[in-house]
Amino acid sequence: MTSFSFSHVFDFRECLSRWFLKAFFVLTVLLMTIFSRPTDLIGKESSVSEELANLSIEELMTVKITSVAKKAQSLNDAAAAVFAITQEDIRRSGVTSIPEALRMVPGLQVARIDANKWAISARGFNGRFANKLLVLIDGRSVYTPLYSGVYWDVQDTLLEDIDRIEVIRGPGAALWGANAVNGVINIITKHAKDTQGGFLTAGGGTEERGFGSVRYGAKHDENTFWRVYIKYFDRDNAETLSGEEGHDGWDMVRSGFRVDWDKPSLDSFTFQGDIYQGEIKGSDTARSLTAPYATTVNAVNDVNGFNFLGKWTHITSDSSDVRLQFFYDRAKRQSSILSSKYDTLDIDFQHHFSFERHEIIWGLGYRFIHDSVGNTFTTNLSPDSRDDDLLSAFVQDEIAVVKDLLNITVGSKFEHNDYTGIEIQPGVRAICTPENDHVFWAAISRAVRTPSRVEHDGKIVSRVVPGPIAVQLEGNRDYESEELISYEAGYRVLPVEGFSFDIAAFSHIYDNLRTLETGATYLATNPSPHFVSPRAVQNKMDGEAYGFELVANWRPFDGLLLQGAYTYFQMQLHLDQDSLDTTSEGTEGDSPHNQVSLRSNLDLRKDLELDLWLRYVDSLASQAVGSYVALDARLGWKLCENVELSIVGHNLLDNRHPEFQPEILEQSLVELERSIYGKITWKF
Amino acid sequence: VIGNIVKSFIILSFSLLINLGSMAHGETSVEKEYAVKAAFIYNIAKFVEWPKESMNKSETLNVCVWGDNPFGSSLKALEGKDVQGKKFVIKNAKTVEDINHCQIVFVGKSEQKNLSKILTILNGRSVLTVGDTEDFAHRGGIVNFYLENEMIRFEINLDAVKRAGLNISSKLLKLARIVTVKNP
Repeated sequence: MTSFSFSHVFDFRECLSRWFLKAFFVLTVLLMTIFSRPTDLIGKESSVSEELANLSIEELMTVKITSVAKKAQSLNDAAAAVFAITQEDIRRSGVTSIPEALRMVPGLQVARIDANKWAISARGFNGRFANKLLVLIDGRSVYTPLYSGVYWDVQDTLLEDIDRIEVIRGPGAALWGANAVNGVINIITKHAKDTQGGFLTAGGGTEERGFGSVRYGAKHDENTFWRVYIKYFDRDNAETLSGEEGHDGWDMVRSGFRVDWDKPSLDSFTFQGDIYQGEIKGSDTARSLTAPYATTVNAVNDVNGFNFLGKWTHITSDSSDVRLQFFYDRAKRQSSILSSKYDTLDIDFQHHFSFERHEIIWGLGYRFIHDSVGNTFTTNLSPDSRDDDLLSAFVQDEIAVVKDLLNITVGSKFEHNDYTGIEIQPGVRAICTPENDHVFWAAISRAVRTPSRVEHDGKIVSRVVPGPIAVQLEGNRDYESEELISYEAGYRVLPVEGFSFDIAAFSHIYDNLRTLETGATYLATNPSPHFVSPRAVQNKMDGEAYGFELVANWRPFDGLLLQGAYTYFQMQLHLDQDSLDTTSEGTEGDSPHNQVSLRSNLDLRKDLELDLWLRYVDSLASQAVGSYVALDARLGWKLCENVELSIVGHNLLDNRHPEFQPEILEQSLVELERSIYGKITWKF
Repeated sequence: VIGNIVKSFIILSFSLLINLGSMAHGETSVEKEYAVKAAFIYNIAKFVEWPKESMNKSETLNVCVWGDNPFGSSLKALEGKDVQGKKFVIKNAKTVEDINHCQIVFVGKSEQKNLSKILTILNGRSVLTVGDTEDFAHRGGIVNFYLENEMIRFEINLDAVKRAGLNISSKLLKLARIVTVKNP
């Protein structure tokens, strides 16, 4: 082992000296590349052809024709608005976290509230506690039943181990169930076979103060591969409006493993897990019945957790397979306002088979959730601990109505949860492929968002005024699910090799949306006599959202990829006549009307990459957040086969800008600063 | 301000594109795909037996590319190589007269619309037709390339082989997907 790593250190030194030599000739090489091209290419081409011609037919049949367009084309089978972030997209965008990578997805609203908090949603209803987006990491749901949302600060892995992130805008409820209302994000990590050998990365900069990670993967036998990783980062505070240092820096250490065992052609097993521990700075505002009624303290809150996931896939015949998956997830957050601990156990079975024109998938699932919270006067859940069961079943049939031309998928999810009982979420989708390179699709689906723990059992004091009167958000046992009926359609085309275009349009009709109804003030005795002005959680709002999303990819030649994405979004919410809500309608202004993302990934040379990413985000009508333009740039330099250096700048166009209003009243807007970091990556 | 930034970004991207387009190394996937297909055609020719009368007439084994040439220079680069004791020669064909002396005719994607017409013209001639459109073999072509897992595969229509009076080695047939057409 020692000699092994030593030889690689030697490689590294040799590589450095080679680089210095190279540096002298950069200009020469550059000029040579330009001027010697014609003869060079012809010479090369004929020799390549000659080489290929000398192969046998059997050998020729193993030559890979890698085509990005073809890979993307597999997505064309989906009768939904789908976008995939590839590993290459992640690497070349220079992002350091999953939320930041999601900014390139059309139809998603991604805003960073402060250094450690994000507001992420699809097709509206954005906020830190956005609750209509389902997020899965390798099939493990990471959505918290506490507020039906996602704690983005703890959703992470070694970014280099991510194979792709698939994002579906619009309801995915017929397959994934409740809360996949406006979108589903699937983060899929690589098979252990694809992460063999060592990998080390380290770097630092102005906001990314320091980070590092190590991964090692190896082969146990012919069919068994494994990897382990550990990563750490330390991120700086953002800045307040007055230009002072905020209190939102954070650091986290995370480690994980994955083992894959593939028994040739019949069975495959995956076992994986992660464990993490982080310290997150934040301002906790505690309410009290005595003046000054609110105290904001700068706290350092612990978050930690771990998870295991096992997956078994068995191929029963040419046209049939079964999958069994279980996971266990523990997530703990400590805070002076509300501490919480969640244990989730999930078992999921799926059977897929096809006969004649039908391709059927059906499945059963069971999830057990145990939680316990640490109550305070400010935030109180009653009971403070709960066990919930979630039972689900789904069936889907994809029918080839006209072979190779028209496919129709009908399906539904049936769920039973402890809050609202049975929920049925059906959907019908059609996909038409008149030609290979043209796809039309349309869908109608129903989805629901089931009540969260807070909406059902919570009491949250949002402020106290002299009296003392506590203005209190109150959960409601009769609170129902929010409902969506969605109409979507889209068109995808590959008019010429290297160019693709995708448009999706939608109209979402919502009903039973959450409102906070002002009730009659009453007297409470605990902890001391005071008045309570309740804001009861009810379903007294409906509304509609519509818009469209465009993506175009253009690869004019092998060394350049241009990607443009545009999102247009509108939402109108309407309170019921008898509603006494004063705030919920403002939600329609929490998402920008227009968003643009333009990316250019360019290979300046084989070993030099220049990547630019320009974003425009419209202002938020209900917040003091104006429109902004941000530019990220990355310069990557492959020193040698195994070593890569890169410099990344984020938000280069302004000193700082705000992106989203914190949802706790006393907390003021935070601005995100221009930042730069450097990184070295070494594969061994 | 935004307009200017967007504009300059676009101009920057495009100027880089134009300036550096000439610098792009390597082959695009399309170039590679056709370089491999060219190698396939050359190798497949080794396993095909043409009727004596059509073969003896010529000193060369002529490969004609009907319509647009998608191979770039990769097929031309194989010209002069030896196949069954004859020289491999590449020609372009635009009219029926052009194909009179061809042993192999490649019909590319550019001719997809005229495919039925072309195949009718070639029907009954001792010509190995090669294509790379989805239903080429089903519509009466002999050898058709297709992609599977990013690798090139080929299918052979045995009825069409018979009609053309060709003999194809079982070694080659073993590697091919066999196409049978119920109603030719």
